[in-house]
Amino acid sequence: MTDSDRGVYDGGVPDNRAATAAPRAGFTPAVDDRIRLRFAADLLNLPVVRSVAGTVAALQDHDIDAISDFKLAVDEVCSTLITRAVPGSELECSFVRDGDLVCFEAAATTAAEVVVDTSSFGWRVLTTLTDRVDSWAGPGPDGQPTLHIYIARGRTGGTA
Amino acid sequence: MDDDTGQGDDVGKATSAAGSVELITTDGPTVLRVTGALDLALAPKLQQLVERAVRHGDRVLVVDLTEVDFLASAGMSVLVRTHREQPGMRVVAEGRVVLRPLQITRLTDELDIYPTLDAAVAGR
Repeated sequence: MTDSDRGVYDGGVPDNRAATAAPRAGFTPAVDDRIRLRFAADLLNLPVVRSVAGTVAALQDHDIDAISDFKLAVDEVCSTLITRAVPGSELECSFVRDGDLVCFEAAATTAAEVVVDTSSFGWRVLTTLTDRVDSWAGPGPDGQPTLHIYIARGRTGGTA
Repeated sequence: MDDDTGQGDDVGKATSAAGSVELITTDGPTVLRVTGALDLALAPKLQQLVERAVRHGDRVLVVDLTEVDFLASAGMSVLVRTHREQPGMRVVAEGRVVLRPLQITRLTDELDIYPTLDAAVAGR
């Protein structure tokens, strides 16, 4: 593959949100710097995604408090999605760097179109831990209702 | 029986993939010792053991988070709910990994937090 091949690849949309807002069946080629994870929507998998979150934030030079906050935020996002996901479905997640921010986005298939409860304790914790939070629902590529959550967190621990 | 079903009166234990909770009845306060990740997988099990201790008539509960290496909002919710129903609850929390989430959510102002199990049992 040459540089020009990469240049014409039309799956690597620079707007990261847009790229995963319409997840495709199967993995897209890993031509960008995203770290992608797919796993069964089961609380058993939380330790795995927390561990990856900690490593991704550490590799982006986040300080120890920011790493801890990001792990907690990612855990909150995945817990929220897993409890709303259709049994037997999967979570599709990705991590990406955006300047000084480490970003995480995840989506789950839900039985009906649901929104997150922004008045819950968990959601308040999430907004406290992160610099940006967003959530949206809509049909996925297969037409199934899908719930997305996006978070971004800066490099230092000045949140509290 | 000291298996995971925790049917014994003195010791109850519940586990998740990354953590566990053990209920220990002593002459003094009842201690709930949490180990590992207190996340959404483990929090309901902590809640069950708290309820069991309360049904048992234990007025002073100590939730020992010394061995906790991850504290999620689900775990903090159990602490808050228990504290509101059982104002005598004491929490043992030491180290950044547990204190930071409690500080961010300002629960350090609300909960009765001690640095060691001995201090929590003594209540000072």
